[in-house]
Amino acid sequence: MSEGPSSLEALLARFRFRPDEELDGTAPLPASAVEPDREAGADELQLLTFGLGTGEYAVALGTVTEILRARTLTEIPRARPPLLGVLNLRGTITPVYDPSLRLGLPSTVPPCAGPDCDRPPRPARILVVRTALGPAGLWVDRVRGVQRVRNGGLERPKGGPTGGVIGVLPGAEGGCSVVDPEWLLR
Amino acid sequence: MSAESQAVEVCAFWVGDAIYGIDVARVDEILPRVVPLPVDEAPAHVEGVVHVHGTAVTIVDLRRLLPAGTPPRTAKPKVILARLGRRRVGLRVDGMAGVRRYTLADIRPGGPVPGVLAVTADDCRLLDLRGLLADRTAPPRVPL
Amino acid sequence: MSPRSDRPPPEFSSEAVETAEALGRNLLLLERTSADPDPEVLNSVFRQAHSLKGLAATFGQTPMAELAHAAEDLLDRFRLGKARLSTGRLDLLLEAVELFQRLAEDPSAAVEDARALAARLSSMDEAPERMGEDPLERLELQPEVRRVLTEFEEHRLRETLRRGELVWSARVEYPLDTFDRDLEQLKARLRGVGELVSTLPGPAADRLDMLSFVLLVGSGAGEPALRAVFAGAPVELRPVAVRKERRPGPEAEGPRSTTEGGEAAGAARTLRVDIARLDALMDDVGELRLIGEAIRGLSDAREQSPRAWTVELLREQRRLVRRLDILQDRLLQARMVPLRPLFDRMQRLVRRMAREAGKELVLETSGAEVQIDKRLVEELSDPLVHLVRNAIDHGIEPAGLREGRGKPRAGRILLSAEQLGARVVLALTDDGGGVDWARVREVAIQRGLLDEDRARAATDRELQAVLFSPGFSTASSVSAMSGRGVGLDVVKTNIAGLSGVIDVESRAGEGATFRITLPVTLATVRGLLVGVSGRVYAVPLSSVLDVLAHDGRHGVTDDGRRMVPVRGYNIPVVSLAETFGLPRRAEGGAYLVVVGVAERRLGLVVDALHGQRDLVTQALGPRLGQVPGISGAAEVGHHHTVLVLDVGALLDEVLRGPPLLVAQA
Repeated sequence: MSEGPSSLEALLARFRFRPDEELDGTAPLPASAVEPDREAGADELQLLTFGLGTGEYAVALGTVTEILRARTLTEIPRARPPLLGVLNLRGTITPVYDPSLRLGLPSTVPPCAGPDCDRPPRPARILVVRTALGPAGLWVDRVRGVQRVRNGGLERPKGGPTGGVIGVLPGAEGGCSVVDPEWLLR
Repeated sequence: MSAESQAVEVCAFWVGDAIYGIDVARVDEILPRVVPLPVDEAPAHVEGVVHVHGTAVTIVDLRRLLPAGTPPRTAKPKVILARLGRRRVGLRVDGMAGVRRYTLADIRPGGPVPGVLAVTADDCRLLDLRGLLADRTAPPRVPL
Repeated sequence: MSPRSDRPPPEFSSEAVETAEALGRNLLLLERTSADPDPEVLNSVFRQAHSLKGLAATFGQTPMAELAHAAEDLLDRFRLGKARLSTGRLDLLLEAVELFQRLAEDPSAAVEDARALAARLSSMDEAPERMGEDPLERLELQPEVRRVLTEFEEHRLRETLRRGELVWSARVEYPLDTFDRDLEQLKARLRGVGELVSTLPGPAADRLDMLSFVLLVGSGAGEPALRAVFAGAPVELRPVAVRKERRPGPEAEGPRSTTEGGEAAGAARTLRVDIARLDALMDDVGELRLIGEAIRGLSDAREQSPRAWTVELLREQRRLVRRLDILQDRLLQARMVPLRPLFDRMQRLVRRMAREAGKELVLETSGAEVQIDKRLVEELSDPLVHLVRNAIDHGIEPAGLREGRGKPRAGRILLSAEQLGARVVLALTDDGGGVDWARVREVAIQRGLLDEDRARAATDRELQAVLFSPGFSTASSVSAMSGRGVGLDVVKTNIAGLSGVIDVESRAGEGATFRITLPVTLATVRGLLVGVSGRVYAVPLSSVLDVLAHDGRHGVTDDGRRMVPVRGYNIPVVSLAETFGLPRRAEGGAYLVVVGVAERRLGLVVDALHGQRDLVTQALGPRLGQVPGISGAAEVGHHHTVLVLDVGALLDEVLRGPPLLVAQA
């Protein structure tokens, strides 16, 4: 029934986990390294696309640390827009902002902090991004998904790059503006 | 090396109507329901990405890579966060089947399906995860 | 601005700061004993500078590495007897210690200063003292021994001879498995009779399980005393002869061993956390593992009896929660550090400030072993410096004046800490001129902080509020240390930000005591949860003076403030809902929470009381900056965050202007 032990050992060796094991050929995407991966995306950019109102936007996937279902925030008394409120994210108080204001769009965020607000709309999400001043949340109406674009594949925004709009993803109606979260949150 | 020291601890799970296993050392976590973000132009078995502890993790549906079948009624679908080299990948399975320990004596090589390295005496199919997830047919512009 | 990516990791900063602090303490010690410096201390400071250099170089902190290198060179010359310890040089080295600490916290902070200081340290060259003939030449040491001696050891041997003492050679043998302990014990005993200059490997022992050593000892004690030290250990002890005349011809010298390797090893390392605490934490982890095992085992039990299984599961879950609570408590305790480094820093500052101000004074400290939350220590530094500066500039009188007043020439400043239950009281007492309350009164009137009648009626204690209010400063001079020359209001704000309180006690001509009272830990705060328009806020219990039912009635003062009588005093009141712009609830039962900081009182009208809790507070974070009226947040229950009120800020906002308790007419 059993074959020679040496071939079994070889099979077991292949079965076992080794931190330095090589992956055969190519493998599913995108970068999901245990340690921060410096070589990933050498020739392509991975973007997270989302919707605000009727427009489509995107940020670099690497800047996003979490995507949460939108939930009722803790209200900050006398808070001024674009600050919507704060979240307690595993022990860190994280402010959540409405990105529409910075983008010059009418706000689509319903009242979402304090005891008097309704449940947030189902597709709404909070993107938690890394910034120099710590984590911050962006309230968006819906999240589309991950899009990959070759380096250099972004088009110039109409009228040239303005402040935080790095480029435009070619594609469906109106295109998708790629923005820099740091600028969005300034 | 003695046969005893050649034992393996296997995290076993249902995919379809069969039980498979991966090295328990690979398993970081079992995730509850996840809703992956779709990724454009991904192979069929790639469901999308999910953010876990701050990084994006690819979710792979093992049910599309292994033979179909009906899992037992009590099985609850889960996603196993497993390590693959320096990376992690989420494996969607039909249900968990415990942690099992096997020695050389319990194992015979080969299996009915590509991707299976060996089968145990209680019919747990030890997976070649690395080989299974290598996608030789996908266009080469998808480096990890 | 240095970008985030240039910041060295926190392990670097903390280690650099600790090493620098230890170096500073040792330098002060050397200053006090400069006539006869302890060679071990000389060695320590050299090693500390060397390890700072290595640490800085490892993390690419070039300015710090260069400065450490310059300091190390100078300290090396000290310990080899090639340069004298002078006040000027010690000053520079102490400056370097300050810069090390600044650079450790923020690498971009003082780069130019560091470079300038490094240049000055390097240029402190001095021709080596004329030694005449080297007495070491006459010492009958075997060539192979002479060859392996380090420069430091040679220097110490010379010192021994210079003092007229003998150099002894002792050969000892110890068992392989205990030799390190045996040697340490012997060294300790030797310290009583002389100086152990060198420990060298001895010739092979007769037995394979023994190691032999040759010790060179400098001692003025006689042979019997030395033999007594070695009692119990087999030893060949003999004095090393000193020849009367020089040996003709130069001695063949092999290459000297460099000092680099041996001396520099063993950089000072300090444990920041008590080992007992770490052990307790490990035990906790062990317990948690056991619970994990138990839970794993439960999955087997499931098939047998679902009912029993559920009971077991709940029990394990309760155990888990209890264990986690204990673990959290212990971790919070681990954040506690002694005040000592802060006090040491004050010592150095006082030295410098006193000199700059031309005043003679002495700083004493007490209670440096008192422990508080690490974050508190960091935040206390600025306010303390400010108070010390005040005491030196405006408190302590010049020596001549003091003598005239019958005081000792040198002023005395006492910095003390005392733990009283859950609080720590830090006090800064000086025996200078004290607070001139009359002048305070005058300035208050002049600056419009108080009207004349109120000012005249106010007692000294009531005038404290004026002293601590913005815009108040009796000094026209601005000193470098205090920066903008602003007064005590900044100190008070800082202290309030730590949930603390400051007050002052003073008698004209006799001195002043500033007392800071702080909660021991920032991490947990006991809070009173209050409901306002459906929201819940936490009021730090340390600021809550009274809680009463409130029927909504209030009096109104001439300037439109609402007042309510409480225990014989009229207290200003304000509705939190109004202050925060929240929708008002329908009239109904309400409560008045009377809060106070130092001498001020305020009544907060709230809708409901939700009990008291121990809260683990989190800061709001740099993004949110200052939210007026809110000092932080805490988690209460699952996913429910409450904001913690900043009582001091609310007081400021509502009361505008120095509030005085007005007795009910």
